Amino acid sequence: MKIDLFRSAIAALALIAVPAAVHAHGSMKPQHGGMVQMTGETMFELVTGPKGIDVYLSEEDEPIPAAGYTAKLTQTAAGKKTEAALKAAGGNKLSAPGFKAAKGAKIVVALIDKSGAKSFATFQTK
Amino acid sequence: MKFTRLMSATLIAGVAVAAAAPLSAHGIWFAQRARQLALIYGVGADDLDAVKRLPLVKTVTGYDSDWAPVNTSLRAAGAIPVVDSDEPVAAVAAIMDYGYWSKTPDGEWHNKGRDEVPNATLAEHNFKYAVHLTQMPTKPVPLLEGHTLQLVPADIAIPQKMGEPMKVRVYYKGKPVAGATVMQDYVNDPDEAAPAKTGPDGTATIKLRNQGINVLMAIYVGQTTDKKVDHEEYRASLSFVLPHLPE
Repeated sequence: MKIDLFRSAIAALALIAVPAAVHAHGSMKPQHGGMVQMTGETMFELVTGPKGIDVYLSEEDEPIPAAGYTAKLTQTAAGKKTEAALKAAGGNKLSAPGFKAAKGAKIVVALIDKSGAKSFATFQTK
Repeated sequence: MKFTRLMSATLIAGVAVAAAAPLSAHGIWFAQRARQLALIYGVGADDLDAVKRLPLVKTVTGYDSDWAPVNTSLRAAGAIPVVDSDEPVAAVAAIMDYGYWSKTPDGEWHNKGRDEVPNATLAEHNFKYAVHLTQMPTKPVPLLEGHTLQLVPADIAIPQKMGEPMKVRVYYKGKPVAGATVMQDYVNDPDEAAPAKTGPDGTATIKLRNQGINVLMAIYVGQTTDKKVDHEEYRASLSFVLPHLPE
């Protein structure tokens, strides 16, 4: 009886411990088919497409409103840098319409919150 | 009874003030604060007012992983100065000229040279330097312009586990210097009993104390022809983070 109780306690602890370890800062699984990077607690998901580039923001699996930020992206490809502003596009989405991601490029997203705090996420396109 | 306690408390407070670290004991380094990289002025756990000392910071420079310059500055964000850069930085560095300091026989420090404090028992010019690696270097840390004293990893690879030895080298005016002190944990062991000393090749070996931020500090007293002081004291930090296990 005592052993059963002990086993139950261990199993309960394991259930508590595992999700805490996995979800400490949220899932790293892309939600929009893009590439993901975690900076601090903020998850950046970069989605490139023929219509431009979108960036989705979330923290601990919760979308965070893009309207609270100013942002830009800088692409470095073949030694040449190009920049574009990322504009809030509803919900947790920032967009740079018409911006073309080059193959094998480095894309840096710079995100500035209302306090002026800046964070970066760096992506390498394929 | 109350009077005695009050007197005791006053005396203890007085002793505490007198025993406070001398001005020259303070250094500068970089550390993360609320997701930002901040410039810290202090010693041990004393994280003092770095914003009011911003005018003393002569340069702040940032570098990418190839040590190419990145446009970088310091911005007062409330109570702390934080690093602002156009792009992510792999390393950031700063120089602070803390000016002339003279100590009078009563133990007081004055922000003046010997020319203005003729009875000074000690007069020195303090310089403070900081280099912070935000990622592990893939190339040797170069000597940075204006860093009269600089502490660098002797090897490109930095050991990644707390407790492992790490060889460092101290440069003074661009050359390896013997006899410099190297403290291995300026934040958590500011009174280190037997800090390492550099040998003839400028190297010393320290033990990495933290699986987190490590703030190493080189200290060197250099001679000067400046008649306003007896010598110049340099403190140069090298800081970096050893990563913790995945969460």
